[in-house]
Amino acid sequence: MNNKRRIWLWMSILVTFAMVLSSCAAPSTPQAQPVATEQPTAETGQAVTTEAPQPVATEEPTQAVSEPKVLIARLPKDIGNLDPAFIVGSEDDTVDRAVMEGLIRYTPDGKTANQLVESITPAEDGLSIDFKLREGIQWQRGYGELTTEDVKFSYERFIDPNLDAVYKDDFASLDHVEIINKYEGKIILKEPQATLWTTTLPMTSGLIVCKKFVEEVGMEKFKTDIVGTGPYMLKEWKPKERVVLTRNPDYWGEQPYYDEIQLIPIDDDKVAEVALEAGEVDFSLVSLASVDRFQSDPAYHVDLTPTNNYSWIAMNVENPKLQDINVRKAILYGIDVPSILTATYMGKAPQARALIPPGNLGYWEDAPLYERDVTKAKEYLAKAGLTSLDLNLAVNDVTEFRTWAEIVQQNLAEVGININILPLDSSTYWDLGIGDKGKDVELVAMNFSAMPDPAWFTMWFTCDQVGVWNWMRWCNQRFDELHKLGIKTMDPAEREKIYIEMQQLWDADAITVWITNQPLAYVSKATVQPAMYPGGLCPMLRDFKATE
Amino acid sequence: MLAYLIKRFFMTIAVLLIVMTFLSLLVHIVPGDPARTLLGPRASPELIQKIRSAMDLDKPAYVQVGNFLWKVIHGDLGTDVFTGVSINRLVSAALPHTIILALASLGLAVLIGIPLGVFSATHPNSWLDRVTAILSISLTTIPSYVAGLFLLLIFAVQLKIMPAIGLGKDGNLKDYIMHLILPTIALAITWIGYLARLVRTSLLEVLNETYIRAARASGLSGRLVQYKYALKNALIPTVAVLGVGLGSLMGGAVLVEVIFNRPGMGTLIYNAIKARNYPVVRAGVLIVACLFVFVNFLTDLIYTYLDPRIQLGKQQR
Repeated sequence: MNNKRRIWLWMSILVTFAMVLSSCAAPSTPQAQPVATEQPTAETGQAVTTEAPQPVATEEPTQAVSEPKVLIARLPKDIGNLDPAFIVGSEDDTVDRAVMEGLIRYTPDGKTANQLVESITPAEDGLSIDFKLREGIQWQRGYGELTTEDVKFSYERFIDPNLDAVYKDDFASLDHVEIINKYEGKIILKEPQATLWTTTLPMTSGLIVCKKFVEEVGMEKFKTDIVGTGPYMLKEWKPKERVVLTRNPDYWGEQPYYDEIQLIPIDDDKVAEVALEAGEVDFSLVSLASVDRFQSDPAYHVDLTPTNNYSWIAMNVENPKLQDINVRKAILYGIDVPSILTATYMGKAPQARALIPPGNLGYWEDAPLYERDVTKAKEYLAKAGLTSLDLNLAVNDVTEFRTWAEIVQQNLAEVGININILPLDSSTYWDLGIGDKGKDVELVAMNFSAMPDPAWFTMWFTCDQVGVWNWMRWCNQRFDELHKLGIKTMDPAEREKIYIEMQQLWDADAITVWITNQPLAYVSKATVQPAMYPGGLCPMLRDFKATE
Repeated sequence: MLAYLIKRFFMTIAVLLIVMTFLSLLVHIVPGDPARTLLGPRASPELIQKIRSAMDLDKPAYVQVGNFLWKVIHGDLGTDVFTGVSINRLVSAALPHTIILALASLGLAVLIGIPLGVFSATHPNSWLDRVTAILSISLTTIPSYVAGLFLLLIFAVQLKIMPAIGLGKDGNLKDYIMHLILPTIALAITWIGYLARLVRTSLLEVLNETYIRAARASGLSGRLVQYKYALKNALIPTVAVLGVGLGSLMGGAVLVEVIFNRPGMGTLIYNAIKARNYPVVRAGVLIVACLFVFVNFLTDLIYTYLDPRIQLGKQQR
């Protein structure tokens, strides 16, 4: 009896000890240590290519007398790598852009504006860009003043072959950055690059990193610990638990509204919705199926953000079953896309008609809309010399794509095409079209997202992307030529023509059934006024405010 | 006893080796490239190869197992190639939360399930016994994730009297316990019903044994006979089930941790599998396997206290 008591006693002590330990001694990184610095006197710059923001001197926050303003927001998953040259997902973008800043930025209304520069001017031949930094901008945690050395380091590391940055293509045309003096520099390019102004300089790849800090902490630490010049500092990261951003007291520009932002990684949409309803999260991405529920409750504010996501059913033109364009047209006319949209997105997603969605340069307004026509579909199948056909449709095994697949299966059965649905887990799915095994793919439900530049839509479908991301295995030399031309062309009107022609080439070969540009539904408490990057890429935390 | 411990130690090593080899082979069988998942669509083939090499994925299974075990012996579970964070740190942050959840659930199941079972066995065929039977079977059939969702919707969303997700504020034990209550109930609910049925059956069986009848005939009080002599023996199969059950609770904890967004071993392994983050999967499974083996060993030891006739390491006559 005594022994049994002893066992229980020890077990109780162990459990209590573990509980105290886990609640009190949770490991975390890093602790931001703000160092008092002089507040710079920001002067309004001479914006040349973009609008200049007006840095506004703000009052010191009165935290001593008022409750700190804390925003709790959901991250769809934990951060992966905060190094701008190697980010893994939009969660990294979200954190990076709250802490770090670029020479220029996107504002909440989708325009570009100067950020760290007083002025930035491209040369007429598009082969160089002159810039002048605002003076007196300090790095967080006492790493000194921002200089052109930091700009040179930040950009040239992308093209350093030893680093082999994942996003080196963002600076594909960069030759080097020339330092004129502490605040003035020149970006030297090998050839003009239109995307530099739309998706490189104002986005994550264009963020300026602190040379001294990166060299001090090394690449491994830099994955999860960053220092910037932005309005928030990375205070703490507890893996799988939370990321905490705290206001940078020495920020050179307008102070953000919230004193602290806690980002909670919640993988599952439904769990996030429960957390919103329980009042434990102030802002979250939710499923489209839940939009009506939140919209009917005045306690919440719902933003249906149009995005640059594009979804389609891809047809592998190298597969013998799909080589005949008549078979592909039979599929195109056999599928009822509006039914897919109603069943999957509760009618909240628009029907896509071509590669580039509305709101982007290169949007093809007159793109054809293929309505379901079973008779026509059967005629095309007959033209191909077939009365019936068996095809596999591979889908990422989530509710959205399974729903698509079931409707496609029913639709095409009426045409005489029997669809075998292959639901695959995420990692298996994303490996499906890689290399030679991609030749076996028949139909596949796909969904990509893109940055706000047409080149971002077309880059995955060139000939050299066959077996990489071009799972239709469609190769068109003219399409490739136009893609290269589109990147070099600086005139927006010319670029527009190029990208419309590219979409016409695509359409002529009937290689896809376009489904939708799926909007994202963000729900916040009615007291929160969120802000998003163009294309719904990620929340713009620095511009979140309280509603009036 | 010493011979038993040595035998058990080598068995544990064998079990862990089999688990590790199986996991290493699985990497080659299961489709999906972790390096591509990690680096995204724009990484160069050279960089993808570098990451594969960092994960030992380009080496044969026996080399992977060997390298991993060599590191483990030196107290190093490896590095998460996604974030560059030490896996020791990830595991040490997640493990206590899962152990606490599993033990709290087991404790709750024992606290409610055993008295329910005893009550049923001591009042056989009464209407209360029938009610208890219906209740126990109903609880057994409720999966933990269903219970979890209902508990969340009722207590966190509707009534707003319990917290919904996470672990609570750092350093606040009361808040931590509040965040533990709903997941504990969700995970324990199946086991409450199961234990109640198990204890009822074993206790009824023991109560019909001759030595119990003899004890009663000798004039010992009913309570003394039921609780000191009958229940002690009736609990032996329950302890065996609890030993194995802790493993199943760890499995159930995966779903409960996902629903309640608790950063425990379940979510750590689940997310790592989804991302094909094999170093984390390997380390996580190793820790869970070690725990499972340890709990089974502990169960064996508890047997000897409950039934002195069982002598570990000796042949039963």
